[in-house]
Amino acid sequence: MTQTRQGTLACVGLGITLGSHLTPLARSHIASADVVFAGVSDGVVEAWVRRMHHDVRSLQGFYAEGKPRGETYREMADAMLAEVRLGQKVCGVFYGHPGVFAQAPHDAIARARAEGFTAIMEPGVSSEDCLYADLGLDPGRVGCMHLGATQFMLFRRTIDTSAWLVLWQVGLAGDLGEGRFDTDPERLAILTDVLRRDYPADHGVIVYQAPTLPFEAARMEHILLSALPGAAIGMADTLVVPPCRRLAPDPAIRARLAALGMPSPT
Amino acid sequence: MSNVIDFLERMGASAGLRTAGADGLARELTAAAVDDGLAQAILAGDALALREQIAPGVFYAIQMDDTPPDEHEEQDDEETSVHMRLHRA
Repeated sequence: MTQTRQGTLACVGLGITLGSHLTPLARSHIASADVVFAGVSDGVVEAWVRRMHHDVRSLQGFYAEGKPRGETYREMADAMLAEVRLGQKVCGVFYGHPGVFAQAPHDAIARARAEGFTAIMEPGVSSEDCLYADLGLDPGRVGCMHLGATQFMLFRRTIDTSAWLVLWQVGLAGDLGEGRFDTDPERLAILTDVLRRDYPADHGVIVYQAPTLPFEAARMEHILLSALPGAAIGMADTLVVPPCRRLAPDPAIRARLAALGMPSPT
Repeated sequence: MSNVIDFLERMGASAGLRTAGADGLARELTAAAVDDGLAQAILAGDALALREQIAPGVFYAIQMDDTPPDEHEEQDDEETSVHMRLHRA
């Protein structure tokens, strides 16, 4: 039988824009921790985290070009768990939302709980949240599908072109586990070919990046799908593909619903 | 450097500073005693120049491997298994 021990783990989100998105609860977890691990995307942001706690340990050192990323994320979780096992109150701080396109926080929390420790996740404002605000896109209108760009390329996915499609980590598109942190025109050309199965070449798409620093503007670059291979795509960019057809009505279901009629008055 | 980090935190949380315009922002940077080189980078909207001065070098932003697991690993993937069980229920 497992039992709760003294060590704890809280994985919290910093949000995307420095100073704008950190919740009071996440700040409290950082301030009250014994040790803080920082998994953030920007050195300036990491310097900000260091202003909040005297013992902040960067997770950047686990990355390396050519190293399988799965190994990197396991090592990040290992580092946090080692301190939990020592009875420490550990806070893992991750940019954006710690549970969205972030492997180490999920893994660390699951493993900590399996070992009987208290482990929680506190959400943060994600790039996805910023994207809806910056692009004026409401996923409730016609729906929105989110996929990792490489997974989209490697598997046959059924795309509903009447909904929005958001491809994350497009800056690594086509990485076959070689530990790359970039993409190139050849890989983007293959991604374009996959998208061309469902979208015309002259379909407009958007390269998006939320601002990390408060004086930056969001990147919202509108290009044609055919121009994607030549676009400058970085590690933090996202590809947003608008719908290319209207919602298709389902007459049979509409007829069944209509046949139910209005409720009888009682 | 702490001045500029504190300033950025304040700017991130202030609607007034976010929309202050160049003159207003320059006054606030002076009042906060932010180093001139850092202040110029902020006024120019040059995040690369600011990063170069505060935290030079590569920072990796990718936190998930979306290269899918092979068939064997997929069978062991807890999340996939849970979803499949829910689907069958």
